[in-house]
Amino acid sequence: MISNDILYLILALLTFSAALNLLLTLRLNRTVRRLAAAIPRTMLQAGETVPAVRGQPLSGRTPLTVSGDGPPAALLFLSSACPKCRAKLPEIARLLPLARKAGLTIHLVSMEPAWRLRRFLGTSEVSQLAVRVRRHDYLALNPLMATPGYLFVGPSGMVEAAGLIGDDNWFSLCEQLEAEEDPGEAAA
Amino acid sequence: MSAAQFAADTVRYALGLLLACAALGKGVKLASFRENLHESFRVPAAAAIWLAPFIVLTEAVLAVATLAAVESARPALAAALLLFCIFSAVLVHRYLQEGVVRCACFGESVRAVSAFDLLRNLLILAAMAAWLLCAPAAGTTALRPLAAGTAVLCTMLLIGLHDIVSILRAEELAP
Repeated sequence: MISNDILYLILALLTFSAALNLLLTLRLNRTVRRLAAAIPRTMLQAGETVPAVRGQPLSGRTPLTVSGDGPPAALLFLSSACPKCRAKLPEIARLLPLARKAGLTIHLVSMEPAWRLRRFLGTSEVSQLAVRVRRHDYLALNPLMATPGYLFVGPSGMVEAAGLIGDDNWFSLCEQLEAEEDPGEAAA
Repeated sequence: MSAAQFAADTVRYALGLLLACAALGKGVKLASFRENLHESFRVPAAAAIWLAPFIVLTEAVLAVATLAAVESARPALAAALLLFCIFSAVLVHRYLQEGVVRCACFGESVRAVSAFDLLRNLLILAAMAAWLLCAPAAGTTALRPLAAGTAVLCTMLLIGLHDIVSILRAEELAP
């Protein structure tokens, strides 16, 4: 007959083993993440097909598709954690009516919780564009998690350009939208 | 030994180990913890220089006092409860204000604080308060190794709560 003391000791050893197992699992997880971070990733390149991603609008209940086949769209990636993103909000809000007239759909794609996104966007008109997607889908569209970033999707669902808001392609889009708004001034 | 005594010993050991891990994690990466105090918690750089080692030292002393005996654990856990309350309140405030805040609570300086880290702090606070309110006398010697083993397991589960949830959710690896 095994005494109670021996049984307690065996149970203690088992709990220490379980703790060690957990420690090793967490270490392994950290190593895998470090190795995954070392793999070079790139933004989606022009000509690549954008996967169709469905998300939940911040100001609505009906899920919508933010990419894939359909009208040309600009997907914007902003984060509440990036100070530059906050500074871009007025610029994006200014572009909205121009984009609407030009038939360009703009979505602000995010994987942040709704409460944080609402706090970040506040009463800005840009909040109407916000669509929350799953982390897996967000990474399919923005593998580098680059913010403030954009992805221009053509009617065929192909990437036309990808980069950071404020780069040459972005300014080119802004100029095009402004030119369509006021063709006379553009011609002059 | 009653179940309550066993639970009280387990909770005391777990809280002592948590304090020890917090002191060790911060102490090993003291420079990064000092930087976090300044950047995430808006502590002036000059104050962070002495505040960081002070916090580490305090946690280490409280850990030793908690693990040593029930008598010394009572004032130590009361002080730790106060310290954790202040820490957690500031952390929650910064989290809600900024969205992204780094804590380095247990030395994890790169990762931002998540809702699960806040839940962990809440659980620690609840355990401290529960032990202080209804801790019976220490249990028998025979069951102490088992209580210590269970405490180590609970400590690992609490410290790794964020990572465990990430693994369970099978989150996509991001850069």
